[in-house]
Amino acid sequence: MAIDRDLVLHLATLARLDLGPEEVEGLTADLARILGYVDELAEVGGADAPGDPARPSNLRSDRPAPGIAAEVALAAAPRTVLGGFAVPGYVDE
Amino acid sequence: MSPPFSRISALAEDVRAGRTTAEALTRSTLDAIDRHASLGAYLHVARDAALAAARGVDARRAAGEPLGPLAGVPVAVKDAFATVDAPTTAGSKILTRDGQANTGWRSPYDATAVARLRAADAVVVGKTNLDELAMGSSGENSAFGPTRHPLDPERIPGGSSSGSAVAVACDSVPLALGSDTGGSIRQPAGLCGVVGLKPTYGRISRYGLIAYASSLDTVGTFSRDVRSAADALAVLAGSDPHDSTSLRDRPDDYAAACDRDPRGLRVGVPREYFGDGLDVDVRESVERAIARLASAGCEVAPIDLPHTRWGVATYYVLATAEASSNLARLDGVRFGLRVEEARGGIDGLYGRTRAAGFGREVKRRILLGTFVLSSGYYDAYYGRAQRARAAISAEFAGAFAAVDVIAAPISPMPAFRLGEKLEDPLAMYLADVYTLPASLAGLPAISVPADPVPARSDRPALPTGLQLIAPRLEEARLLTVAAACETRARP
Repeated sequence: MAIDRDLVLHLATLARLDLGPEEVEGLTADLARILGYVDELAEVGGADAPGDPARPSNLRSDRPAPGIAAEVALAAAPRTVLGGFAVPGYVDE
Repeated sequence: MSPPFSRISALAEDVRAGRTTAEALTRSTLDAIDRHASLGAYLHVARDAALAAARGVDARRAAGEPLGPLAGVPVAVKDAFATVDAPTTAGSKILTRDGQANTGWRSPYDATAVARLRAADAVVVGKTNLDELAMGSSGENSAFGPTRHPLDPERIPGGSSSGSAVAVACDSVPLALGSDTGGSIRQPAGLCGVVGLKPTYGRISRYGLIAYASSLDTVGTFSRDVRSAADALAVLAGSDPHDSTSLRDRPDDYAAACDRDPRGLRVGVPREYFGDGLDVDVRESVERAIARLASAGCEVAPIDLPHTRWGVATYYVLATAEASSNLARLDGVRFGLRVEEARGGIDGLYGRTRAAGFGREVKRRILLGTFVLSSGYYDAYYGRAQRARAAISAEFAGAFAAVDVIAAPISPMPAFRLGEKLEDPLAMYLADVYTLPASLAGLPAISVPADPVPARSDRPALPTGLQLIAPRLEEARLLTVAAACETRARP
């Protein structure tokens, strides 16, 4: 698998990371090396990816219960407006 | 560094009986934290809250009220756990207002593990340093500076629960909370010469632990001795309605397990864990520890775990995939850092905040995880790694048909120098080779101190550890063998 600068920039867009040019260069080299090693999984056979049967499921009953109050949740937010989390306008001005 | 602390249940008994007070224990801990401040083990010392909690325990004793099983025991908490009375940063700028640890996120709730410790009357004294968002094996990736090895400050203590390991190793606390996703308790415990217990996946609730890789993240402890690990597990284990992966299985009597006779237990030694790359001195220490188990009456036999060779690649596909998803919530909107400019809209806010808030290793893992989940590569990487994980689990299950526990090294080398592997992420990942398989299979495992490796021209004498791995839910058996190993190691 060839890892190049364009692929890393595409991944950074998907991951919402604004990387500087130097970071892109370094991370391209890092990913190329790591994925080169990961390629040894090519020897893993089988067609399906089975779930792990040992994984437990401990779902609580589907009944409403008190949660964290809105004002408590908002207390940690960097910016709030009108009782909600403030975000920039969706459409660029 | 002789331990001033006795077993934690004995300390609590001293508090209940009035032989000491919670406040005295807390003051002594706070003094020790100050003495060792240069090691960078703590991101936040909860001085006032700890003293208030300790005085509360003492007041309840004075009023004749019953006290919990960890009455007055000072505990340090890895800063990946949410706490109501101290900031939580996970070692990352992204959870701070301005990049400083003291402006970390103020959680409106305690993590379940922390709540259980407090309910048992333990005293939380502070939050410990860690590799950012629990990603790292050396303790160097914290946004707030590295944690240093207690015996040689120019060396790494291991990671990611670096501060918790050092806090126990330098005797500032007798117990510390950590998390282990691929070895983040066992590896620093081994490198620092303390006991590190990673129970079965789901044995302790993950609620309030900042998620890294949810199918692997496991809560556990650091302590000076195996019996303290058993005492803590008895308090921490159990199902939690807030974590649907927490187990409903009844915890065992872990304290009793430590005093059980290990004779006749079969110990498997996997050949694949003793191959190329294992430091010769570490190998000798581990082999001596295994020989002590044989002289304690265990039956030691070689076994084969050939899928061990897939462990590193499998882990770094699955864990990064899960991380890329989990970390999407750190976006500058609900908590922590926010980097906003006039233009760019919400995508600009996300991109700039995350670029400024995450360090190099976290960005590396997010990109790797994004790649292995992306269209066109998913089957070749994520799908294949899922199959490898199933094969590794099945191989352990087969091995446990013939043996009761598995004994192995923890880390291929003793603590290395700060900076030695920082520029070579693959070399850093490969050093996790011995801890990753048990994580992928969700098995309980423990790190027990072995003989230190001797001093050489290029390094001082340094701690090393023995890793023991047991079948799912068999923490009691793990503790029986670990306690036998420890008894033999300390004549």
